[in-house]
Amino acid sequence: MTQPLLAVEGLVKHFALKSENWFDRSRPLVRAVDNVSFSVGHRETLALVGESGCGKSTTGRLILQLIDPTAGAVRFEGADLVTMAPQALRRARKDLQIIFQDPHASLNPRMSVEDIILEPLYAQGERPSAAMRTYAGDLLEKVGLSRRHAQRFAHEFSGGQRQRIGIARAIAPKPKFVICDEAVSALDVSVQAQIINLLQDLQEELGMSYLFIGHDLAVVRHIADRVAVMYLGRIVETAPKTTIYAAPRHPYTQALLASAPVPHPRLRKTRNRLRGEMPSPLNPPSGCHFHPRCPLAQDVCKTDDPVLRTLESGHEVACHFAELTAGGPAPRPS
Amino acid sequence: MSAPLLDIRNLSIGFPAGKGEVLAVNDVNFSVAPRELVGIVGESGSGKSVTALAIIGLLPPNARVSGEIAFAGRNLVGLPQRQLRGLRGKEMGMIFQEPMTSLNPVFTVGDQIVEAVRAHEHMSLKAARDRATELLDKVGIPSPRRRLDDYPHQMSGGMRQRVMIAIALSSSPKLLIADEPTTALDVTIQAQLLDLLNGLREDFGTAIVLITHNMGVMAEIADRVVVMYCSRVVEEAGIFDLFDRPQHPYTEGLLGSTPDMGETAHRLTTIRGGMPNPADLPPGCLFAPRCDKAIAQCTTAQPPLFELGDGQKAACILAPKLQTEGAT
Repeated sequence: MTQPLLAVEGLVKHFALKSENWFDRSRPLVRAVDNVSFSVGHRETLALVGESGCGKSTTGRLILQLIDPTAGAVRFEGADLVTMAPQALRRARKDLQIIFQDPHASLNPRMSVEDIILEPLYAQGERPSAAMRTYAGDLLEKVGLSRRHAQRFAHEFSGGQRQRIGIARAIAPKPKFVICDEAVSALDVSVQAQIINLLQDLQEELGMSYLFIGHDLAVVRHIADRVAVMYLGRIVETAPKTTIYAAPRHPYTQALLASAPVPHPRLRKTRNRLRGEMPSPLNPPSGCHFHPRCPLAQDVCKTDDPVLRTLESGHEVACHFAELTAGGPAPRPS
Repeated sequence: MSAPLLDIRNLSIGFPAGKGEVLAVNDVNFSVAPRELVGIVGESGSGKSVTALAIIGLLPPNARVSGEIAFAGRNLVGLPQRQLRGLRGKEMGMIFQEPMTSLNPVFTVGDQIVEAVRAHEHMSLKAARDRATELLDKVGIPSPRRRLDDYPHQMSGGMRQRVMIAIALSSSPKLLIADEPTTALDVTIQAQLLDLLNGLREDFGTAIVLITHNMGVMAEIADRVVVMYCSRVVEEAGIFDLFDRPQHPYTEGLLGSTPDMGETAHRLTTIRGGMPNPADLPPGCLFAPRCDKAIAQCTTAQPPLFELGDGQKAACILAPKLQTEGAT
């Protein structure tokens, strides 16, 4: 097999908190990302999905080295970004960009749109020039805005337009890999659809790979090639899109899919709702993190961490009982 | 059909802007029957939240309201605050999108539920606490007695929204207004809360006005849907008609741009452009500049809400049902 564009290996991030007890000097650890591994191929879109607090955004930031991992490696075209010298990392960042969720907070209000878009290039050592300004105009047109917008400021634009500016900035250095961190979550539906289509068109045209971080399974279904599901800092299931939606095998993935709103009122049914809420990552349950909410949980789930194992080519599940879950969610005694 | 619990007639709400006035809600009509769940769907700025605030009487003082909001046969527009206070909380409850900012951070959730209970009923503190425990239990909070002494920050977003619902239910209201109650929550929690809202309707006969931008949430629990665009109602229909035979191009566009979990992942259809500036509205149909079907006639006059049979209405001169059935 050819080398993937990006390979994340055993990524770990622990955040130390202040102790609640003033006399206690030990600092409790939040295991935000707990031994996460995955890879993203060329021109591929991998979606990382999960609920708030599962560690998906932290994983995105760790990949870009915006925060330092506690352990693990992030190999981009074979070179480990974690151990790379600062200067080399700066050069590598040209190929790794990010689009953030909140288009209001992620654009500098004191910079013109043109400067915002060109900033990643200036950071790579480019100098302002007429050619650069022309390029900024080209980028604006590529994302569906007008070159006449170049001298305006971010507050003059709507949420959807700002997200387009954020996209123009991300694609400015012609990256090979872009992280979309909940990039469409804050937008109205009609605008969201425009941005999803734009991201797909740009990928086709520029041949980028995406790590699409999101919580909306319906959106992910439209954009991803492969899906990785996270729960409390760990990946519980990875599979090609068609497999994960048609034949999910981890009970958490199944519950997540059952919770997504139906596409048509005729498909309403009483479904197995997931009980309870995600536990605190400060004090995750022993063994399989999902066992207190799992309909299939047995004693072994409370003691042994299930490892992510391959069920069939490309489909990996971290569940002791993945063999029993084929054919949809197990009925729960009511 | 039974008499509606809530009947809104020709409701318009304006806010002063510059020298003139901007209409946030423009000639809106709809009604809600007892036990019914009516959804109001629309994007940011469509006027759906302002409509909700008007029903419950929480509009800012500079809002100019005309028309009629009849609740159980009584017009609420122009009612003095004293009388509105008697209704609010007792006959109708409201839950908001952000459960953190709607709860007071310096009081325990128990205090806040007790306050709501005792605002409308003379009751000892002890009895009110028992009632609060009962309410928390009803909205599905485990070990409710113990959670009474929690502060809002000690609870998750889903829990806080349950507390809000408990407060709204404290006096068994006939009508519950829910403004984007699940938008800030994760899908599994959203599903739990939608089940809870549905249960309220069945167990207590509460009518619900649910405001959302999410068509999936509508598909999940609404009986009837009112679609708003730019301060106006553009379509009203039963939930099945809305999904099977949308009559307004905006409704069609909203359905097409909603990514769904259906069998085929098609390319999303979009509505081009964005919402017009409310201070500078286009002539004629407000949707015409974004509409692929628009003809010259669309830009001359604002279309009325045509009755299309089966309780479906649409403000479009090109509504397919209008062509085939020649309804008036």
